[in-house]
Amino acid sequence: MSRRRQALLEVQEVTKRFSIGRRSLWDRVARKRQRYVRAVGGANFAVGAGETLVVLGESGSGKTTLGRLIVGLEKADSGRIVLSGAEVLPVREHRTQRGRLQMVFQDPGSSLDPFMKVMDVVGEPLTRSDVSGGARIEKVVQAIDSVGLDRSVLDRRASELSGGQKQRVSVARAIVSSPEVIVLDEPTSSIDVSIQAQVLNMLVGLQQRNHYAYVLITHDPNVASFMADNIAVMYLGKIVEQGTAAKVLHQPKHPYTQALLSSTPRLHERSIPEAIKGEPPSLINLPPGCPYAPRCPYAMKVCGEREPGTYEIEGLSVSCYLYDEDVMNEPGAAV
Amino acid sequence: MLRVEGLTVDYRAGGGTVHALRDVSLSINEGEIVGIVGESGSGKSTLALAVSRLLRSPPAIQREGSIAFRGSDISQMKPSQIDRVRGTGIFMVFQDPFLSLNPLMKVKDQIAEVIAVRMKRSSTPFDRSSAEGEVVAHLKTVRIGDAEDIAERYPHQISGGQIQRVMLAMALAARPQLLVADEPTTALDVTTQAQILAVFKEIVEKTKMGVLYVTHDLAVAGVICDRMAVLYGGMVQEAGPTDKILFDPKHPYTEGLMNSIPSKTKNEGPLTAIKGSFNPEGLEKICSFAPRCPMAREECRRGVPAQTPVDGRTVRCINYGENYES
Repeated sequence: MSRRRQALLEVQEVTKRFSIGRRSLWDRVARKRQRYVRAVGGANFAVGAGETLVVLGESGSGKTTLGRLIVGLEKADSGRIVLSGAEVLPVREHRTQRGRLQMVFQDPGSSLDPFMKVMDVVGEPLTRSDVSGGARIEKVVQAIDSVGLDRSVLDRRASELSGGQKQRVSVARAIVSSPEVIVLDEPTSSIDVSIQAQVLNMLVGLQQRNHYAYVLITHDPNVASFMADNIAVMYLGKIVEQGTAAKVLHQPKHPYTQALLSSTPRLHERSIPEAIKGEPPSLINLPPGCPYAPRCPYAMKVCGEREPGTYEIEGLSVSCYLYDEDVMNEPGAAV
Repeated sequence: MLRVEGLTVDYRAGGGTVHALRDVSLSINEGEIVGIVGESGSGKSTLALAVSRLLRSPPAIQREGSIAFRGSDISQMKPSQIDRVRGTGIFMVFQDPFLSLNPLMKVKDQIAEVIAVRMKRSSTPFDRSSAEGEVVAHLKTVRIGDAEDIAERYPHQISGGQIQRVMLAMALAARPQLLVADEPTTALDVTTQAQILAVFKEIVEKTKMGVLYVTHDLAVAGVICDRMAVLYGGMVQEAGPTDKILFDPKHPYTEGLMNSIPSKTKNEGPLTAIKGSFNPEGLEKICSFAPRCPMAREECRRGVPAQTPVDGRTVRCINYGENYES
């Protein structure tokens, strides 16, 4: 995407799969193969300082795993994640990158220790740094101020706060170590719409002041359209389409993006949104070829055989054979 | 068919009292989908449970009002009477699909059980093999592709979207007059949600059952409901035909809720958010939205605004006349 500028965060050909079930000794003797779930397959993108990349996808699309890979909570099987020129290593293996990448988790109710005082929750990321004593308290107070919370919350426990306040505390904890990149995993999906607008405004304000690079994970096209500079759409572990927010949301090229956007009910529209057929297949036995082929109204023979490459079309990167000239020019290609 | 009048429900716990519903009135006719829209703490789930007579008491106490279903008050029925209304009279679909089916029974047996109950209540002999045929037919109506295969499975072997379909198939089997659905698509992906909404609309048109559809999502309510009631602080703040409310909201809360849904980009300026958050304390004698309302003035705290008819709907806001509840 914005390769013109020096990108702050680069994700290059990152893949991650998880093994499922344990192979018993007998399975090994019988040479039974270990089964895997593909969580992320070949993700590529770059995010600059002050920019937001939205990862848009449904449950099971691998978007949360991608977020965890970026901050080093998971180790990629292959590919590289680069932060200002240096490779990001898993958190346990690398201490100098500590605090430069932060993550805000989906459900603040379970990601915050309910018994800890807000003061300690927010200050925790600084425990291993050389910031201590008064300087540390000052940083925590600053963080609490900048997420729009009253200083009186510092002495309260996380469990005493409302959903919106908890999510602000999570954001305060993420920014206290002055990070460069913040991964926001569905930051507003557990709170009410009326509070969501406040939190989104707050996040935008923070970014404008501090030039954080955001990777925002969401299933909600409305949130994506407000927050995003660029959007990557994921389906079953693959980025199927990416480009600027305006292009992806208003002129999507991939059939899945088109279906996702047309299934979303919109305010002031009274007709039932158009539904795509079927449901996502199990991640365990992914069909060969394009993961979307079984549900795609345009599926051709080749789609079920091998995975499409990525094609550049009108400023978008699209992973779909409809934009492969060789395939489309073959006689009898279209179904 | 359903007429709720002045329903007031409190929760008593730990010495304190929470007013979950205050003076809620609404009606549902045959073949009509009525939406209850509200955020957390609005009382929308309490309303759904009260109508299904599933409120646990204690802590819930119905202080006032009535819930008339086909002329008789559900809230006054004896347990044996309410048992006969459940399923074939009022059927409820819950938010979490994974908690709504019996994990130890096959899908077909659970739906067949409902058919057996219906047969018994209408004094018709139950025939196992014709019931199995009916099960598959209902599964097909809710657009389950491989109906015969799904019928043989256990709930954990099918997806959340499929379970919500099975629940709707079960509703078809029960032939209730009223379906109460509490956030039935909230746990589902949008592509699956669109499918379920289409099935909902279709079976309501086919069976003419009335539906009480509870949701936090105004856009979903707009798509599926004929009429809606917007709940805040346990009170109906605005109620009327969907078109009126969606295209010309009158209550500042309805308007604020709509503005909160992002409809622009960050480069076009901040979203119009509703300030503060819901706090149930101290709302007994004032407009419950006054503490957060951008238009609030002194008069908003003089009493609880009464439901005032404005342009084809009712609104609880003194901007449309200073009428208070007595």
